Amino acid sequence: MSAHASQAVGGLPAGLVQLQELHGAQGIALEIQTELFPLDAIFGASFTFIDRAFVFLDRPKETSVRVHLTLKNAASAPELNALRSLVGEFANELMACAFRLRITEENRATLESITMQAIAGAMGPPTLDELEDFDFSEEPFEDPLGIAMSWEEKYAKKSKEEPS
Amino acid sequence: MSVRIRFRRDLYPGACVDEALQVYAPYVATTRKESPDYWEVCLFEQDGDEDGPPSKKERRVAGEVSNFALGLTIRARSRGMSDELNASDSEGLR
Repeated sequence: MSAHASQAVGGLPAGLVQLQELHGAQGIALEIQTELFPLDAIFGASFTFIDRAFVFLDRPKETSVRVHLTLKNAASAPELNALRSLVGEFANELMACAFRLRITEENRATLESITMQAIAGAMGPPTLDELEDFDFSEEPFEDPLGIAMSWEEKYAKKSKEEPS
Repeated sequence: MSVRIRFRRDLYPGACVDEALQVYAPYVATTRKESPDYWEVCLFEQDGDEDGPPSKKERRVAGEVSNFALGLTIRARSRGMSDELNASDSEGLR
């Protein structure tokens, strides 16, 4: 989308938020540093706005993404407050998306483990044939510290008959 | 008048842009070309005035095409179709 003259918005950082005309429609643009917000979070936040705004992404620099927002049902010159509100809501949504993404990544192993157990449980109990083919002789896991050893096994009194 | 949309190639896969254009093809005429960094799309009404400002219809369709391409891009990313995205980037617009 061809962007034309840009103008700072009062009360918002001039380097980050600007009023911009996009192919004849007045909109607002927010520049986002990709080192602060991952691209997936930017896409996620953008998706939540496509029902009420035209959203367009551009990359003015290698390290940033510019999000253009134009209200769908607005006059040719929408109210400044409406655009300010729109970009503010977008910034909040971006924060939420980035946070959700981080939590998902941190808990990925847990989520995969739970999902795997749920799927394994849904498959039902093994059949007799499957049990017959199962190799029970294999050790389930290594236990060098003896943590998995039972109490009786670990502290059993040695028999006097056994040679020391 | 026409509306020119320049989709960054590293943000929008060519296949998604192409599909969005196909969906809105009944409403406007389009021309497409590639540059090293962008998929460049030009939208115009076939019976429109080429010298005037973009018409309301052209602006509306340009916005809808942008949203549709964005939605397809997000869907492709969420499906983890990185291989297909890379392939579409090399293939370009059809």
